[in-house]
Amino acid sequence: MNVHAVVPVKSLDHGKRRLAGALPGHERRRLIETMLEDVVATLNAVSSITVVSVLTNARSLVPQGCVEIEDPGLGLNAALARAARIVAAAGASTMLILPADLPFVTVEDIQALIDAASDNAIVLAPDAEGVGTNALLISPPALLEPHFGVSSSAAHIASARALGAQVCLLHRHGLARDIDEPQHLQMLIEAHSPRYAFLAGALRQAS
Amino acid sequence: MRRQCAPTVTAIRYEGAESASATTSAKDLVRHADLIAIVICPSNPYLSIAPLLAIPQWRALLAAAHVPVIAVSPLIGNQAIKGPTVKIMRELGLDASPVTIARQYGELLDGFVLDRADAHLARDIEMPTYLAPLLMLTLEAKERLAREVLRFAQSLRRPQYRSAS
Repeated sequence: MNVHAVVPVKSLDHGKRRLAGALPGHERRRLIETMLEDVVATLNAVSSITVVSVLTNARSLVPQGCVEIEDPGLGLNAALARAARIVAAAGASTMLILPADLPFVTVEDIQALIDAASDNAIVLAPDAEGVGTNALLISPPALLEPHFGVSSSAAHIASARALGAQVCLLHRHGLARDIDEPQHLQMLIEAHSPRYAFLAGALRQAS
Repeated sequence: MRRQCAPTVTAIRYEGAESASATTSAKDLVRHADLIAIVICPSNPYLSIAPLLAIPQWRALLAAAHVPVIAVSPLIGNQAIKGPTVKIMRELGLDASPVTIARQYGELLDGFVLDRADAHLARDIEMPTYLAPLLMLTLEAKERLAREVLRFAQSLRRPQYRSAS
């Protein structure tokens, strides 16, 4: 299996706006960059992933060693559909879409997704609430139109079924917790990673 | 190399390519703002170009490039411009034709440049093609071909499958 990972990340001006009340701009930027670095480092540690691409319109965010896929600015789903055609042309058998705001993701989580993809055209990891999609594997990459947004989990499952594609739902702690709301920041602080220690001071100042 | 390509080729492997990555300067060049096109020159497709394309990250860089990627045929008719390309193709059981080369590069390409003598092959190539004299015997001929290839690249504007719509 030749898996290409695609990590969508919004520009710093538009990313994580729901955190804007809790976190000043500079710290929000640092949070986006730190989470992206962590997710990319985890993906790079998985041997069956041959290429890690970052889908963005913020070139300065793309970490060393990643391929940049330009986001044309017509919405996340259009950008992902275009990315699917690009990774297919590059020879990928499977595309793994993994957003950059999953700081708890582990190599074992990614490996479990890839293992499930050997028998399933679509593998989906829902978010903790069970409504959003936090990871999506599609084989071949352009098989399914991405439907990220409101109730994306149900939308992805419905369109996979319409295609007659085999779907696997994977529930794992590291894939369930995306960082979207101010209360999620507390979880990052409580995880005691020195990389996110700056959040404690920033939150104290803001409150 | 030492035996001047005398042995028969049965298969070609690019050892270590799967785990290799593109250099930082290559990555910077491919996404340079002033870039107009990426041109795969008429080098030996098996010994010079394929080792690069066997590196997954290089393929991904070409596929994600914001400019057209075009290739210039290393064959005129069933003759190589230079070197053992035709010998290798025959020994691998391939049809020694520019069409074979265009299909090998496949989806990575937005356009393919054929020699004028091969105009009849254009209909077998599933992408925009351009005809030019490919035999470069003088510096002047080299410069002229380079200019024509760039003009062709600019006429392609947006890379086809990479377009946003």
